[in-house]
Amino acid sequence: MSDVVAQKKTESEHEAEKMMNDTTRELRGDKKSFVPSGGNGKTMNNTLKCVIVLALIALVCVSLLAFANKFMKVEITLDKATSSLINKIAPTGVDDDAAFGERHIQLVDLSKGGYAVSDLDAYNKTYGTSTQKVRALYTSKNVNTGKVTLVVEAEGKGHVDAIVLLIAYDDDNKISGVAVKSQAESYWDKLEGRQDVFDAFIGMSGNITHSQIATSTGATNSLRGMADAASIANGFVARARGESSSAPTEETDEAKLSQLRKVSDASKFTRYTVGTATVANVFKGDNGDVVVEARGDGGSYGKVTLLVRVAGGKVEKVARVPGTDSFDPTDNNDSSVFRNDAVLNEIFVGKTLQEVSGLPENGLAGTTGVTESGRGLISAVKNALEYAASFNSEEKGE
Amino acid sequence: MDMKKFKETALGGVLNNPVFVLVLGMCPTIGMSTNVTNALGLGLATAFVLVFSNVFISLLRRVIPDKVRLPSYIIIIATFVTLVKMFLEKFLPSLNASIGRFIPLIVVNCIILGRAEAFASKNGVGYSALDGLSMGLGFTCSLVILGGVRMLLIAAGFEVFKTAAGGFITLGLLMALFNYLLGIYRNAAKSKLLFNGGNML
Amino acid sequence: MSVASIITIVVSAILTDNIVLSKTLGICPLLGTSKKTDSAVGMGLAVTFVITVSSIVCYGLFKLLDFWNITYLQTIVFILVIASLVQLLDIVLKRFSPTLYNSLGIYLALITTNCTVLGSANMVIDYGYNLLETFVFGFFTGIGFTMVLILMSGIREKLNRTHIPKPFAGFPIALIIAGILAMAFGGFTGFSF
Repeated sequence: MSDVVAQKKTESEHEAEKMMNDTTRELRGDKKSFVPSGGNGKTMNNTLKCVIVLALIALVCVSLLAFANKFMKVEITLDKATSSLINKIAPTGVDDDAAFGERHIQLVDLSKGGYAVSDLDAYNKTYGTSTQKVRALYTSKNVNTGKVTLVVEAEGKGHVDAIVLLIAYDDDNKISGVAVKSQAESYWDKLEGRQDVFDAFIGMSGNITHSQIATSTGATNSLRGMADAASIANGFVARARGESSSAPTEETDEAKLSQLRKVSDASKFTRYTVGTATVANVFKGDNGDVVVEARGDGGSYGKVTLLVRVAGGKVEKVARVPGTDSFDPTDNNDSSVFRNDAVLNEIFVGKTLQEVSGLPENGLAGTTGVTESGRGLISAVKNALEYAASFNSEEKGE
Repeated sequence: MDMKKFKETALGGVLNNPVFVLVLGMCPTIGMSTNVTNALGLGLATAFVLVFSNVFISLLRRVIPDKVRLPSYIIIIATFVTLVKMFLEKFLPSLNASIGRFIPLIVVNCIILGRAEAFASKNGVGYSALDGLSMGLGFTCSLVILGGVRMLLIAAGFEVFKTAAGGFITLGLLMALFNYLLGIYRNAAKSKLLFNGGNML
Repeated sequence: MSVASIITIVVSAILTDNIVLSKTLGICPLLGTSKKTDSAVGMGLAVTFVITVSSIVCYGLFKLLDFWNITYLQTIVFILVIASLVQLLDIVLKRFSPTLYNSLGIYLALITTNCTVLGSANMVIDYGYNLLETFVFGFFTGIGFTMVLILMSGIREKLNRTHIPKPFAGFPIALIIAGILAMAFGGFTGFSF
């Protein structure tokens, strides 16, 4: 009996191989005829027919897809699972079923007004990227206090795919709770159960970088995705509430003040929250100094946030915001150059937007092989100069 | 209706099982069989593409010139794959998060082009649809069995079955088992213990 | 920096995230063409070439699709690019390098339905690589594929001389060997960057 088994085995194996060979022959035999062999009219006619049929099939298929795409566009609706997650980070005071059923948690239709942002697609085109965007805005109403909490759904690119976060905000646009709606990360087990990582978000606003949340988790790219999602959500919530550059507040955070003093002699600073992907804040000193907190992105090792004091369209002074860059810490050469503010000032001070744009990404400060860092730094300074120009004209207009 | 052909086509998914007998479409089989949900999702998505591409290719089999057969098939298959992808993105986002990356690869799953070439281009619409359904469900079942076995093994504490290595080994063992059973069945059929008149299907 | 990120891509493409043993793509050719070392090398080189070129072409085309807001055509465009590229290669090789054609030719046609090629074209888009990274990723993914094929073929040539239980003969034993290789490669995941 076992002989028969063996024979059958080989048969099925042969069958599979034969099938593969058949496909091979077909593929080869067929495609060869793509090449017009020219010559008599009959061949030309046949070739023409082939081209026409192929083009027709392609046309029909593409129009079918275009048609389907219109209806299949992903529109976010509030489902039970999302509602339960929101109930955890922005409690309604009732259980998940009641919160969903009695509509204490709702999806906001921005086009109906009530918020300063009315079109999410347009918002993402301006402030987001293809991998970093705001997906939806929800409200959660607490039945006991009547207080309404805003919850933003935003995504950032992790190691494998998009990480979607739900982020709740307090009245000062600071994060009050974070939950993960979906992710497909391969190293997620390293973050699973790390409550400290999620707690680290609380109280944050403006642009966030992964090193501000946690270090050495073994899942840096996932953290980066979460930080990106939170950053764009932070900017969005400020803008949606209409509290962008028009609502200045005095900067009171000691850490931020000590950073600001590196670039300006002013004793007090007024903060204008911008919250875009390129500019987090603008600070105005009591002596008239304008300092832009701008972000540069030069690729995976070239993310950096700089404080740039700008006057008359030129860079006056630069300082790196500690803990916000993704410079390679193992590359001593690179670190020593770009983590040194004196070096940065030597490169950038006195330069205009045009001059900064002309700097070589590869070879900044005579260090080669650090293109991404160079690109990141240059783009941060450019962003600062560009924003400062528009900021000044806004100021004059007021 | 030709009963013999009907029976043969309908049972193709078992006797010519794409995974265990023809050894086609291995990549999604191993990659997406870590649990039953993913296995079922990807299997049904593949079955859907298989049925519809078979139907359309069969309908167009007299229109498409022989020379541009394969590019035409590829376009038709890719269209249905994109439709499935759109559907998953819109209606099943959580399933899409876990199997979405394998969906575009259905285009290059040898089962689909293989059936288009070997069956749909030579048979009528009805039989082609039946063939697609049978093969698609056969593929789905193999995936679900594999996913189920892996899930059990993972639940029993063998963490290695979560990884690609576990997928390879489980599939190897199941394929050996299938060969063994098929051997017994065919052997029995041959010695006319199960069927008279040598009707082996 | 740039150099470090390139090294990360190289190491992960070959070892830690090997396209066959970790991402489970390209298993059909792994089972089909790893019986002899010669055919393994031929298939591996042909695939490396096609992956590298198609990743770059698809990368460029995706930028266009993205610009025109028709990214839903990604799958259809990519597979057509790959099929035409394979066909073009077939013609060019036959015309200009008959020797190379004779050694690679028979594997070329199989490559259209090899999911490593479409898989890596999609990954380049998913991972948001730039042009240089795309090139490096494509090339070393192919090298990782070739390496696994050669490893497998070496083991399978030896297997021919041993006694294997009948139900395991052929594909099942090849799959189990691939599983053991995958476990060995699993040891590389400790490399984190």
